[in-house]
Amino acid sequence: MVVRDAPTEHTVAELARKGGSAAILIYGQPPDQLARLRIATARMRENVSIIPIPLAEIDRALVESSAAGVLASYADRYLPGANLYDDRNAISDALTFFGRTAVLSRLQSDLSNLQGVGLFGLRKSGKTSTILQLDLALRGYPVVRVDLQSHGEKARFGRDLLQEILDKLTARAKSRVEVPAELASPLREAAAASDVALDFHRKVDGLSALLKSDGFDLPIVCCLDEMERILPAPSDPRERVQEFNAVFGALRALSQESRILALLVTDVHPDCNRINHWPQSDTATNPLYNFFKELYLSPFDEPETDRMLTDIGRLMGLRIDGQTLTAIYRQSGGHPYLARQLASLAWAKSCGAGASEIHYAEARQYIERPFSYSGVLESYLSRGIWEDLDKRRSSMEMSILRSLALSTDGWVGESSLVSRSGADAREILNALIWLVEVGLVARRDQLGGNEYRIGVPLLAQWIEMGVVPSEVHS
Amino acid sequence: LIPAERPFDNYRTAITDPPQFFGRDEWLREMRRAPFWVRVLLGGRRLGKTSALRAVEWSLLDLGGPRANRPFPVFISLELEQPTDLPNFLFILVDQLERALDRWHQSPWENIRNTYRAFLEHVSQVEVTIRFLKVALRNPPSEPRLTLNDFREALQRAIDELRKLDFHGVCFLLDEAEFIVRQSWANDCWAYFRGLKDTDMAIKPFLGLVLSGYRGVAEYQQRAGSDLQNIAHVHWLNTLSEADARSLISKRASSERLHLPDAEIMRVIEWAGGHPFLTQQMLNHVLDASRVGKSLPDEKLMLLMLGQHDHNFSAWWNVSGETDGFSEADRRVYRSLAERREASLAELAKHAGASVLQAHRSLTVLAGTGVILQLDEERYRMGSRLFEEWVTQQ
Repeated sequence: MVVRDAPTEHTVAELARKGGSAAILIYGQPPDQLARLRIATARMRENVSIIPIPLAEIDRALVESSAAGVLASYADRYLPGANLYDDRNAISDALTFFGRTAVLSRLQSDLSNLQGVGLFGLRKSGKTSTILQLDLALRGYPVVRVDLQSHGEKARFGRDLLQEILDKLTARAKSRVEVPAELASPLREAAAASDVALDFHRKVDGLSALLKSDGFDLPIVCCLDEMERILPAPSDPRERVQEFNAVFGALRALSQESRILALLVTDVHPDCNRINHWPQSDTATNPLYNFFKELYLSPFDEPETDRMLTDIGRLMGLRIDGQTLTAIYRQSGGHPYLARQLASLAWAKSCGAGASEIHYAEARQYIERPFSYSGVLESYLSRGIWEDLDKRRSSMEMSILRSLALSTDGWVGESSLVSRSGADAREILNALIWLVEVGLVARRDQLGGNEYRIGVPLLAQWIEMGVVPSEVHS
Repeated sequence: LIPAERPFDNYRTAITDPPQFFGRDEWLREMRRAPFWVRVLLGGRRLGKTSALRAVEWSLLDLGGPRANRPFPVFISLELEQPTDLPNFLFILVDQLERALDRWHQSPWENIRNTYRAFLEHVSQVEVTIRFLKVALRNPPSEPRLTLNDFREALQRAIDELRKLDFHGVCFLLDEAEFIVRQSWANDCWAYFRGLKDTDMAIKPFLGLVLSGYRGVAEYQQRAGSDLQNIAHVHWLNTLSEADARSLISKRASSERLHLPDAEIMRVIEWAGGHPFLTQQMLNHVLDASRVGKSLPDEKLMLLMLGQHDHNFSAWWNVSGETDGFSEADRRVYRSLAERREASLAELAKHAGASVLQAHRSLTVLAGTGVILQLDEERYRMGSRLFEEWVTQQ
């Protein structure tokens, strides 16, 4: 069934009445709360799996030739017994994506005004998911998404990256209009990025005119996910820096001079926007220095966390009691991945498939002491946060987190943090700014100097677990 | 005693005969439930990782089992294939997929046992440039390498063809993934697959990945980018349960038309501690003796087993630090448990002078090597008496 606006419970009921074991509901606007509840009821009581798919997702699948994949992904999610809390990959399903309304609306407004944006946040904070939702939200614009994870392996990555942008743009155009051969022809194979940059510029120019004439809004929105994979490291050869400069010089020119392309990049740290001079000799400066408006994905507040957990539960036919919601928010600090994993653990251990409610009395031990029952959370904190800081040699950030985690004082003053570490106050402040932006540390503005405490109590618990008893004593 | 000739090189190599595979029910159930996830299967040397992957292979090929959402399994031993770089690895994946498909076509369905045997024994005649590669390959065949684009294209073609055969995608079972984490291109490799599984909508629901390994895989950290393991489901193999070990022993005895008294069965279970390889090897001696109407005295059997497995135990204990066996912290926690026989995580951490996190990691490794037993989320008990005796004698 196709519903161009938001399906209601009556729509869902009608679909369920048609019989069969599964039905596909294609919607223009997300179903309301009652409709979601009705989807769960159909699955649990009437044995009809209703698979809701956004219309925009189908449009995208047709352009990307991924229709079978999209259908399989959605079908998999909405079959009986699925644990929708345990989403390990980026979320494209609009019904289980929550809490980034403000970020999405700011991105739409900035990007449509040609403002380059850097979207930063912890691993699994929802950067890729936000890009996927942005793609659905900006349906009138030609959006190109490139995952840089497959572009980091070669020093000369530029030509292939520019070609992928062109390929995706051409596919967008081809969905509506014939693309002239000179625009669809590939960039010169195995060339340095600087050698194909002009050709790339010319082709994007031509394609944008074509897209505009065919009813697309401009600018082209180019989203590059995981900048860390191509950002030159100090140990990288000069050639890699040259490739980086050539690629982003071209993209910057399309944005600032031709005004036809808006750039969105994601990363954990805002390095791409902060580095001016590369350590490699005889290289030009970073064309992205101070180019982006920095936007951070912070943790959810309590109502957002509650809504996410309650609404996902609703799709699973599950209710979560208030105490459980409070406890999950308290432990996760509103970090969406941690909150979902805690809910997943509580669901799997305290009730499981077929249950209709998570009660705090049964779920408490799994939320309060999750590391005894699940390796996922430990692995995320250890690999996704701690070892990540360690790899960057971010000893100041690690020292602040350790200090706040082991503090018995609750809020700790800035001066106290400075005196405890014995480090330079500016260095501490810089580290604190990032920690607060990504939500690992909470700040309380005070007249006599700001105060801080750990933002994710689960992380504090993990750090405490890593401390040898003798260290606590000392 | 004259040792009997037994299959699987006297039960030293992986079990590939379904009736002779015991335990691992949860692992197989999980694989059947969600075969397209990224999974990491961890376990110590000789704990049965290859057998567990082979069990996934035959259970997915079993036409008598559920067919919905079933991928075509492709088992690849990375130590055997030794990919030289990422393009070569991608080539090997597609090449092995083609060879496996060819063997599947050559193995008419009878029942899973016979068909799977034929599937393993059949030698693929596939030339490296047929089907998916033929169209996709841009390099000359003398260069067994695929670009990322060629690989993706070949994979898509393979998925389309598999659909016609009632398989809903492909699941690569990558045995001994330590081989890759040791390579300089490991970061690029895992980052690429993370990207495929994160955002490539045409591929991700139809591609399953299982990496097996031990500490090298468990502790591998990607140099840059999002970690593949952050989207993976990690599963540590442990020892067999007493019931599974008992079934294995009964099966082995009955297949040799022998009867073992309960005391003998309990001796095997207790000494091997449910470690599948130790159980099989100890059974070889016990059954050899039983066949001539004898029972080996404890001292003799202990000596035989310690002598035979000294190199394995030594590699696990790893005092020299030359293997991927235990660390000093692991050994301290093991000794603490040996003193108490059974203890909680908190007690062991305190006694071993380790943090709770360190103790937890050590206990995970010790249980995942098969030398201690995890009773529940918090409590642990000593495992194999054979290994304990070996440690005592050090």
